Amino acid sequence: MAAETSSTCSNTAMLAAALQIEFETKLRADAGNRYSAAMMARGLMILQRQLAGQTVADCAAALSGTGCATETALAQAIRARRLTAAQQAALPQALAALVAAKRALTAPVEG
Amino acid sequence: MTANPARFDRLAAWMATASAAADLQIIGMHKLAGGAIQENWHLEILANGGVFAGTGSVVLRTDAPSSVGESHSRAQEFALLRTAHAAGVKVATPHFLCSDETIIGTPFFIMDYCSGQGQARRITRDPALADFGDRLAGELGREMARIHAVTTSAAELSFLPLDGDNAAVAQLADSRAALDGLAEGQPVIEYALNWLEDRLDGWQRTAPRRLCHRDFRSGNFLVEAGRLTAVLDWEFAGWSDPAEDIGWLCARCWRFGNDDLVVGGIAGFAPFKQAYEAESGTIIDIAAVVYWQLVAEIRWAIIALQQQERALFGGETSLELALSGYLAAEMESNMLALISAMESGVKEGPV
Repeated sequence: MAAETSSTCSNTAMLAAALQIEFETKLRADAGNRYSAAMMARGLMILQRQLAGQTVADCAAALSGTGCATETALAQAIRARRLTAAQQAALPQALAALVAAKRALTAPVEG
Repeated sequence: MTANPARFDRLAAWMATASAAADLQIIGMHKLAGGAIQENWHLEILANGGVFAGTGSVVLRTDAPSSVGESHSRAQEFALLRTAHAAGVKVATPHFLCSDETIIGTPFFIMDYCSGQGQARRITRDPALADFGDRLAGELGREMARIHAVTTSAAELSFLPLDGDNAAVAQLADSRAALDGLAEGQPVIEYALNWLEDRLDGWQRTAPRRLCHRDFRSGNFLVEAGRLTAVLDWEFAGWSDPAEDIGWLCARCWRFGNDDLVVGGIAGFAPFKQAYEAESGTIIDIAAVVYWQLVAEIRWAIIALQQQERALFGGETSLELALSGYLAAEMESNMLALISAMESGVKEGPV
């Protein structure tokens, strides 16, 4: 998971920097820019959820039944068709859980 | 001019020469919305003689600071636009290409300005959509059929690659090559590609490939008063199976929340199908379209991830690009749902 965690952190840092630039160059000077404001709201929501840390744990849980420690390792195993019959059978459910964990970052707020 | 005027200092003189005007002035200029990959500038011009005699509006299209790997050059896009225009497709009339990078710093071309709404969310949320949606879907079907009438013998398009593989096999190879270029593995996409590969007999075709727009979707055409005014953004066009374009237009990721309106969130499939088949004289292969819907989700997910990497590693600190990669999970969810639906035996149309 080290590579995945490192990547998640760099994603978060990059997103924070981009948010700041967007705010300083677009919104501060033009409060009527609704598109930028919407993007910023979405970015901030993702950041807040990502920093809460649940996504990494949920992704790890989703991967646990696949025999692969990282998404990259799982992707390589799928491409090479190296999964056992049991792993292959469990794969759709594991992938659905992985997608659900990622979508939890971006899903709109209910209500 | 409202932005970066120095960059365009030489543009008016170049346009005057290209259009055979005695004199040409650019009296207004602004960058049009959208265009993460290309930039479009609206130019108000005043011309003394030549092609643009009088006052009028044209659009200058040029490169954004960086582009995704599979997009064409402006010269190639200009050739595509000319071919589509000659084939009777509703496009902005292309006028002049400039490959000389000393004029504005990047290659560009000039085309007519077409009015209309291009923002997909505004089109799909138009309160009058119920009144014009079916008619618009029919227009989209007719225009797409006209694009697909262009064969690989089109001389001006000889630059488009046409290798020995059929479109389906080529798509799988292209997708895997694109995944290899990403920093991290993508297990859901790999799974979907294997699933498609295992069922190639269900969607690959031996029929000759045709010109396909390959980004024909809500957001890439203009609509005014409920009517189609122009098909935009030809930067991904290439030889493919026509079912690819139909699958792309009907992919859930391009319905903008109107999930029941399979044709781009605009209408059901029937009016599109009727118009396409009437114009082309061919029957749409529904099974192939559904497979290409899955390909569409894969392609868009990969493009979204590539765009995010432009922000991560490409030196473009852009919030829009940075957020793109987070869209991929939505497409992955659609991939799994499509696979499930196809395994359940969906046959009646795009899902």
